[in-house]
Amino acid sequence: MSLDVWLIAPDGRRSAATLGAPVGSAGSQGRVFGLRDRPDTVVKVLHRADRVHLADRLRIMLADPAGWAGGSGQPLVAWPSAAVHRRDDGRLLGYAAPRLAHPRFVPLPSLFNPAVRARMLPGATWSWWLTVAEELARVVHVVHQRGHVVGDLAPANVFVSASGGVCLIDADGWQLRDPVTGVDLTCPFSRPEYTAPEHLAGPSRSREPASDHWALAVLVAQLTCLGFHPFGGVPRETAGPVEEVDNVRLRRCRLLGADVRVPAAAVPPEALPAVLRRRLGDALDAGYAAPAARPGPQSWAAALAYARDSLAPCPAVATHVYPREARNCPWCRMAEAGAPDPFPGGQR
Amino acid sequence: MNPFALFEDDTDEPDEVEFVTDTHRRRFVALLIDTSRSMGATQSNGVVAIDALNRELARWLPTVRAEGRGPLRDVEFVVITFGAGGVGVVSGDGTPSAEDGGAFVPASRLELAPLVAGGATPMVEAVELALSLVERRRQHVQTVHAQQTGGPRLILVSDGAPTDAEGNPTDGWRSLARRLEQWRSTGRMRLFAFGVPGVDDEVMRALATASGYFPLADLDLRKLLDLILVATSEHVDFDQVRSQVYGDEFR
Repeated sequence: MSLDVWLIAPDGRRSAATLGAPVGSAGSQGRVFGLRDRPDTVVKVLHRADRVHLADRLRIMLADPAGWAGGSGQPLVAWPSAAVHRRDDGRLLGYAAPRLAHPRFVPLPSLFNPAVRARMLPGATWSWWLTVAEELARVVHVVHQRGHVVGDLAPANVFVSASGGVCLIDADGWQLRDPVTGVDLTCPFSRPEYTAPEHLAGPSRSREPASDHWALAVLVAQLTCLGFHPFGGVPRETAGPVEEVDNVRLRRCRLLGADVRVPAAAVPPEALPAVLRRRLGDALDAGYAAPAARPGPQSWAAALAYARDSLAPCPAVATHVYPREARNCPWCRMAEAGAPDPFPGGQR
Repeated sequence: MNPFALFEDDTDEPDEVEFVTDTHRRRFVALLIDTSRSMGATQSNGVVAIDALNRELARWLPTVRAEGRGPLRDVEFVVITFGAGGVGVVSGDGTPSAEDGGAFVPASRLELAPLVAGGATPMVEAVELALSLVERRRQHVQTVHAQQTGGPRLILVSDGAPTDAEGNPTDGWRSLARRLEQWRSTGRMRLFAFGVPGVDDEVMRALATASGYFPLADLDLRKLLDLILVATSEHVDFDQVRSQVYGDEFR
C-alpha cells in the first residue's frame, strides 16, 4: 500500500502523507494503516459502505476542542486528529488518530486469553481487573458528559494499559452530538451481545446513555469474570445454536442464577462481592425492561473502587486476592474443582 | 514481582503462545477450496495456480494464527478440499471427525500441508461434508464442553462447476441450494462464496445467494486469502466484504 493522502487538520492545514502497512487485524468496520515517516499516527480507512455521514461525523469530532486525556495525560479515546483524503481526487477516506503507543496499550480481547495474560500480565491479580472496569466506567462517564453515546461499547473497542488505563477506539461509530445544533448522529452498529434489549429488535435509532449503561454492566461482569460473558452458557434444553444474544432475549444471565451449563473455567457468581452482584441485578434484571434502573458509570466506578479496597489476600497463593466478605478463596476453589488457576504462578 | 511492569515481553511470534480454549463460546468456520485439475493448469502471474496458492497460504497462515490469539480466538477452522483425491479434510488430523483432535483446529493452530491439484470438482459433496461436520462439532462442543456455538460460517472458493467424482456435470447443487437456504433460516449459517475465473456463476449464486457471492475478476490469490480472513471476522456483513472485493476500499 502506498496511497498518497492529505491529512487535513481541524484548522484546515493540509499535510501530505503516504499510507504504509496495515496495522492490526482486518476489522469489520474498516482498516487501520500506519503512515510512512510518521510513526505516531495511524489512519482508519472506512469501508465505503460505512462512509455515509462520515464528513458530518468528522466535522463534529474535529470541532471538539477539548482533548480526551486523563489526569496523567494518558489518552482516554483515540480521537481523530485530521480528516484523510486521497491526494489524487480529494475523496474522503477516513481519519487520522494518534497511535496508541505510550503508555503501551493492547486490545482487551487479547487479555481474555489466559495464555497471553500469563505472559503479558505476570503477577497481576483480580485487583487489576477491578481497576480496568473502574477506569472503563470513568471513560464512559466522560463520553456521556459530552453528550455522546458509545453505542458499540464492546471489548473489541477497548484498549488497556498495564496500569489498568482504558482507551476507547472507533469513536467514529459513536452516537455523536453536534454541539452547534444539538442534533445526534446515530450509532450505525452495535454488537448484539452488548446491545441493550430495547435496541435489539429495531433498526438503528437514537440511543439514550442508558443503552451504554447496559453494555457497561455486561462489560464489568465480563471483566470481573476474566472474559466470561454474563450471558454465556448453554441452556439445558437447547437443541440448536445458542449465542449470548439468545440468552439476553430470554433473560438468562448466569451471574443472576440462570440455569445454564458453563465450562469449568467460568468464574462462579460467588466470586463477586455483593456490591457488584447487586448492581448487576439492577442493571441486567431490574434494568432489563426499565433502562432508568441501570446503574450509571459513576455508580459502577464507586462500587468497583469499593470492591478493590475490600480485598483480602489468599493465605496460600500470592496472586490470589478476593472479596474480604468471602469465607475462602474462590480462585483456590476453582483450581481445586479442576479449572486452570486463573492467576497462576503465585504459590507461596 | 511488580504486576505493573507489564507488557514488556510480547515480542515472541504468536505461534509460541499456547492457546487456551476455555472461553464461553466457539465459532466454526469451514473453508472449502477447489483443488480440481484446472488449478494445476491455469496460471496466476506466470505461476501454476496451485503453486501460487500454496505460496500465498504459507504467507497467510501466520496471520491467521496471530489473529487466533486475539479477534479469532473463538474460531475453529475445518478446511476441506475438493479435487485431487475427491473430497478430503486437510486440517487437523485430516479425518472427517468432529471430535476433539479431529478435523477442527483453533485459528491459532491452523496449519496446512501444500495442496495438490487434480481430479474433478465434487463441490456438492464437499459442502455436504462441511454441513455435516459443523453440525456434529456444534453438538459435541455444546454437550461436552458446555460452550456456546453460534451459526457456522462456510467460505467456498471455486474456479469451476460442480461435477460428480468422475467429472460428469451434476445438478445436485439445486437440491443443495434448497438445503443451504434452510440452514440459513434455521441454522444461522452464513455462506460466503468467492468465484475465480472459470467458475459457474449461476451455481455459486444459487448456493450463496446474490448477496453472498463474490466473483473475482482475476486469479489474485493473495487478495482472495485476505478476503477470506475478512469473511471470517465475527460481525462482518456481505456489503463490507463486497466493498473490499471490488477494490473500492480506497475509492
